[in-house]
Amino acid sequence: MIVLADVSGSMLPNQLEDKIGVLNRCIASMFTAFAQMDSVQGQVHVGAIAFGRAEARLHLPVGPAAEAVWPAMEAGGGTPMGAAFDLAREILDDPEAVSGRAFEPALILVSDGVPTDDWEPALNELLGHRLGGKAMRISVGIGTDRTPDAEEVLAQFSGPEYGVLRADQASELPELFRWITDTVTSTFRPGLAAPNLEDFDRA
Amino acid sequence: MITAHGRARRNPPLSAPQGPTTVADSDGHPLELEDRPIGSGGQGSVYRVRQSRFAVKLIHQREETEGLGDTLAERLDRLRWLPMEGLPIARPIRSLAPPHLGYTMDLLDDMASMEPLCEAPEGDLVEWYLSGGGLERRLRLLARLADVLAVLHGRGMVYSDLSPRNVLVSASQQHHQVWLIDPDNIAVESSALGRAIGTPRYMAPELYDGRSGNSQFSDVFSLAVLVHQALRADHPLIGDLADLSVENERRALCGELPWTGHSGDDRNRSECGIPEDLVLIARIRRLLRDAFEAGLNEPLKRPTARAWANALYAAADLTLTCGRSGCRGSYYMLRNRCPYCDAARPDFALAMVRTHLPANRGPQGREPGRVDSQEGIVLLKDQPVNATQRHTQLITASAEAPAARLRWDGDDTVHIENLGHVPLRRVPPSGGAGRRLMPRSNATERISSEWRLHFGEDDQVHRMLSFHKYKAERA
Ligand SMILES: Nc1ncnc2c1ncn2[C@@H]1O[C@H](COP(=O)(O)OP(=O)(O)OP(=O)(O)O)[C@@H](O)[C@H]1O
Ligand SMILES: [Mg+2]
Ligand SMILES: [Zn+2]
Ligand SMILES: [Zn+2]
Repeated sequence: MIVLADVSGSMLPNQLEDKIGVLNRCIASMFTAFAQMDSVQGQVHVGAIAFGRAEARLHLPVGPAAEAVWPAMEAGGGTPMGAAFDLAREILDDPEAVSGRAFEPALILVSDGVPTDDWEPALNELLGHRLGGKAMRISVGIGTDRTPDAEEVLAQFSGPEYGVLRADQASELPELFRWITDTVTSTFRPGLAAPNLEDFDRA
Repeated sequence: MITAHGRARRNPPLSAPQGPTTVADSDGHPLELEDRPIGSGGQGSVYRVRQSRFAVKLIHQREETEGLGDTLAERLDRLRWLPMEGLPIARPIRSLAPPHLGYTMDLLDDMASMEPLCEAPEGDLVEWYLSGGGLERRLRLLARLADVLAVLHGRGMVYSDLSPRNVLVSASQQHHQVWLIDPDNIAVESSALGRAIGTPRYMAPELYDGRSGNSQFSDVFSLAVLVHQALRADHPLIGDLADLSVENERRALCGELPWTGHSGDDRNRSECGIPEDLVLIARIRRLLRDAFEAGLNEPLKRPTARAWANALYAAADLTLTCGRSGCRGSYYMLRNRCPYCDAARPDFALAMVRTHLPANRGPQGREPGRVDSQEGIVLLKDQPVNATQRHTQLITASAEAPAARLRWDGDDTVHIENLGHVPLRRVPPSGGAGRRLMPRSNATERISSEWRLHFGEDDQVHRMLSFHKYKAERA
């Protein structure tokens, strides 16, 4: 799983909320949940790209979730999302990062605004990529003040399967990430076994 | 059968003061008040206005608050501009004309304070717990409360003084309305941080010693205490160690002692309250641990009001009521027998909530798949229940908007009515598009045919319900 995280200036803490702080905690606890998963299905490998200021950087190189230590991201500057798409594609091309993994790649895009660079060609290349095109892609939009442009890039990224997951406030992010964690880690069942009642009380 | 008792009290009750009989609002309209207040607290008394649907909150003007008077009047005035539309909060409508200080608000009829549901008596708890509506009603009221707080927080406001006295709930056990009263201390988060307001025992540790002012994080601490009080009938921080002395109690409330349910430190366990396995379920346990262990002194780690609302609603959906007449017990469907009267659990059906993932998007590749959840809706014979958007949508702004009405006939048939605005799909085990159920129409299906109800199209991720039957244990 690769997280593409918006760390532009609009994610900075303000009087009402601390988007970047909440996002840091959400990602860290999602990775912890992956690390604690039983390894019968194999390990989840995680990595992260942070885009802000004038560049997209590899914030956490791809590696087993159990070994990942989340360094807090800091916010500032523009929203170079196109650069993040390019970097994601490079990672998918790196055999070290993706080969022989038990899980299909998942890309999670989190953003609260409009890209400040030319994102469209970069996204088209990512979606045209062998792995990028079939990856589970989920986009998360934060805040209610997103413009149609901002919505458009998130919608194009995720495609129609998942649509855009919306968190009107940063405080809704934890529940959203909880759902993403469940979705990525749940045993994928083709059938519909009758549930064990005890499962409802499982920690 | 269950023995549980409440902790002995220290605080003496307050007595109600006598007030004036006529006041005027800011437009000069006289308001004739009833003789006795509906209730009084530290800041003032609330009176019913004769022959009207209004109430008046009259702020006590004692000598020592005289200096505060002006700023208080200003603050009350500003309150009317906060974005509280549509929220069940008793908002100030008009200020009172001098010399009185206070405001008019809507009279909440047929509502009662939540305090009796949270503050356990000293003696036997079981009768008290059941007469307040037991587990299910508590869960539903708490879920509503958390929901209101989540919306308030979403709009950037802080409630500040959350305690059972400031929560009014339906007087009738059949209803689960929740209103917040006493909006005096609601503020936008930035201005709330400059002060520390709260009710003793419901305040977050950082407010006691002035480390921080009110925030959404201190609000959700109060909420977590309220949840623990209402469900377990015991304070999460005041265990047997904290109860030894006034000083110990102070330390506990300041976050210097482990909470009663600490996972690794049992110095402050409590031998009071309702046993936890009767009233808690994994998801709620986890949130309590996050609130009082990691979050005790680290406000950012506390679960949000939204997380509480989701978990409490989900827990309420998993309860059932005892079938024996005269027993008012309700309990999680995991138990085989009623913990209060030992009657066998009634037969029930379960509508299990799952997520459908479209083809080519799961770990194993090509096939569409399903992700189980720990959510479901218990259906008792001939008692219709609404599935709402929180069951049928992944993310929703109106969690309680009805989506489908479900009724189980006690045998093999489920009646469904589409209460939403888009068609639903009834899909057989063999898959395919299934049969559409249009808005406002009805259908019946047999559980044994293993159909399921889809709330979206197969090429999109969406929620679905599958139905299962569970028989009572035969003695
Ligand atoms: N709008 C209302 N409609 C009906 N009853 C109300 C209303 N507002 C308050 N009450 C009743 O009046 C009582 C006192 O109200 P309130 O909490 O505002 O007083 P207070 O002096 O601020 O108390 P405290 O300072 O302890 O919070 C409440 O317990 C409630 O029973
Ligand atoms: Mg009050
Ligand atoms: Zn005791
Ligand atoms: Zn019973």
